[in-house]
Amino acid sequence: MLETEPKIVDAYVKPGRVKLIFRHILDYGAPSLLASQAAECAGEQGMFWPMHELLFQRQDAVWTAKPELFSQWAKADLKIDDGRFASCLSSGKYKSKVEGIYAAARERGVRVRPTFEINEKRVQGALTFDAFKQIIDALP
Amino acid sequence: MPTRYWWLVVLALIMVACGPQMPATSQTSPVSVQPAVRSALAEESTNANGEYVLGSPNAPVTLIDYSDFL
Repeated sequence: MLETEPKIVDAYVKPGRVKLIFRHILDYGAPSLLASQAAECAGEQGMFWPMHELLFQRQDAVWTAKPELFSQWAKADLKIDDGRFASCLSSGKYKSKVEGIYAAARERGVRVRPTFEINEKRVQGALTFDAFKQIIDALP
Repeated sequence: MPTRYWWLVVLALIMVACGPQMPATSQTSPVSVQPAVRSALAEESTNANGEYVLGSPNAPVTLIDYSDFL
């Protein structure tokens, strides 16, 4: 999704054709949980999607990242209040939220990462932009 | 102009040459300097379930992305 998402945003989200919703999958336990909470804490300051993008771009670092690293990104890359971000992350205030989203996804039968639902049509695996385009353009 | 003021002419020429190239004061927003965060230019909100939504809430097509950051 790292390469595809910006194209979808430009072609469909910005013109108002598509709205994109992100649902957390936590298949890798603690590192997944921490990364998802980092995105939520950035979201408190209006930077969920930028942090979401950073996390995918720096996926290799996310595996072993400590909260301090995400706070550095919050300050250096997103220019948000890193103190507030760090407090949010250490508090675990979004832990139950992201776990709830994950549990709901499991209940809906999501077993493959990534999975997409495009107006209820479910597709699995990493798709190219052209594959998304075909599906979206076929919708009314 | 007396020849002893030649350095004033040189100084003026240097100032004219350098003036337009002086760095502007910081006018960039935090996001604009980050190509990685270009998606921030679109509309960001949360839905009734608290999930983050990018784009117009009235968009006819909903794309839900179930992903792990790893």
